[in-house]
Amino acid sequence: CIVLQAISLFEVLAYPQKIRSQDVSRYENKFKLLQNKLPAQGVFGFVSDCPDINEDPSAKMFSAQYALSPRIIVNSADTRLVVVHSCSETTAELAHVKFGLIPHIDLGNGVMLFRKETE
Amino acid sequence: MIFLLCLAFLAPIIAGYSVTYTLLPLQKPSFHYYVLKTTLTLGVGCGITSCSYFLILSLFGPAKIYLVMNDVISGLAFIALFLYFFRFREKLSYPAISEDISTNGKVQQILTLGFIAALICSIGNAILRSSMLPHGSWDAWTIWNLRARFLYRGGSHWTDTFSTFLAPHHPDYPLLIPAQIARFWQFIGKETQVVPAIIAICFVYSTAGLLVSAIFMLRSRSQGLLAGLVLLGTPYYLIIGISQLADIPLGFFILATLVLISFQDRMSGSPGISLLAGIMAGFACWTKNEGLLFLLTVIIARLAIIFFDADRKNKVGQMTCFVAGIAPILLILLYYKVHFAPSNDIFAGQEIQTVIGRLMDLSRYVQITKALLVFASQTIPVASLLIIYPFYAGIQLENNSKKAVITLLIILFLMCSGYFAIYVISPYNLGWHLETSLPRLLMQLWPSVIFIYFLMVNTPEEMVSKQE
Repeated sequence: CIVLQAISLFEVLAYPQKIRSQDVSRYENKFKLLQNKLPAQGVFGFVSDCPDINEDPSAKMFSAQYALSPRIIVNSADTRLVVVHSCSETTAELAHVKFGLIPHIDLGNGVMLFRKETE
Repeated sequence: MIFLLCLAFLAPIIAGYSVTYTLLPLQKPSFHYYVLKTTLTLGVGCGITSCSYFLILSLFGPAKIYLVMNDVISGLAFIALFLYFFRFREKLSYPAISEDISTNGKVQQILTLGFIAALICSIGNAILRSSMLPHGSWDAWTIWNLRARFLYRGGSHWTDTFSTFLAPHHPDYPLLIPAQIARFWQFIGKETQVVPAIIAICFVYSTAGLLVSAIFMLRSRSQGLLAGLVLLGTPYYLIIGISQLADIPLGFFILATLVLISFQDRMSGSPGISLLAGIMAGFACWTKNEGLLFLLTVIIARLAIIFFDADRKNKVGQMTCFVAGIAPILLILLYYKVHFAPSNDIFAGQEIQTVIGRLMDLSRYVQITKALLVFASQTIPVASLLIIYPFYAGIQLENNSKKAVITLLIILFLMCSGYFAIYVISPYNLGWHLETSLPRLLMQLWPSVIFIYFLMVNTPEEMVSKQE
């Protein structure tokens, strides 16, 4: 039992990146810059063209939800304001063509706030 | 902030200690009894202040003044309770829970050193992992810490946490952990990840302390140290524990209930133990939905024992006290489920035909069994030791432990059956559901499995004297 615990401790010391890869902090830090730009409550959309985090398609939206709570983030572009997580130069154009969204605020770190063109 | 953090601990400690001190019978002062009382104090205090925070929030709103007033008033009430019963305490006496068992000094020394080594490794592991994962693992930041943020940040809109838009985040889950985290944040006036990390570590080591001290009192010191070694030597237990999930706190309350049930069978004249067992079972229900299944299994097991017991009147009295302990917490849970929580994702929207179809599908049973075997194969070092050990040490059920052990075995069997059944009827992709939850569910029961195991096997002293 002591050996097992010691092995586990060794794994933490030898392979810290394996554990740190599960940490949500860097995504949280990315999205939380939007906190001052969004209303304090409400439902906001989320779209992303970035690769999945740890092969999980919901991880990006969930990390945005965690950072921006108590606002509610939904996997949709059908809300008045939409959080866009961008990894491509053509995101703005695609968002306009596909969802009718226009840029509202660009935080400069791949995180943008779009709004409906009709608003 | 450190001063306010320490101050925030005051209300749970006062509440927990008053209740534990009042309900636990007087025993000869000993280190292991103090450890037991301390661990129960932390659990009870956490549960009481979590419930009161939720009630304050739902009845009066999120203003900090109500929280402070609640802490002061309830703190004074609990101190008054403590002082009132303190006058009577010395007049009451109960038979000792623990027996004087001759100890083998050398065996104990080796086990003590081994336990300390495991403890130091685990503490180092816990601190390092907590610092690398300040927000915990996936379920921590998508469920428990997320809900704490809604309670704390939401202000008058705190009920947004129950929105059906948040269905993937299980908004129906009870609030013991999120409410406790939000309570600390509100008290400190700042949202800090130190709080959920401390709460997680407290439950990990309270469970270990409770297990060691309980086996210490019911069997022997060496046996207690062995039990502690097995628990702390299970790396997955620690990993789950410091991930800021609710599974280990649930495991703590399950273990506490089973420990107190074992005590009550030795001290039939003490209603306080049964009452405290009910309180712990109630807090298990307030921690996770699995707590409700646990409560059901405890009631079924105790009713079965009552039915076959010659001393039925006494057992009925114990059951009455147990129900009296659960009642206030179940009322709070009922209020929460009726007025706030949406339907549970496992059961909501499931048609009876679909459920029956899944129950009749044998491939699901095979898949679940395979997943259990895969998990067991990953725990071969510890599992194989535990399987071989009784052949070497022997098993001996003491007369005054027999009913308790039978009760505990029935509860464990029913819990495992319940978990199995939930997987069978699960509306999710079964492979995904098993992969993401089975290890955690088993860790909820692991401390209790170790407890029952070491109640049954011979102690090192009994083993040595048998060989001699």
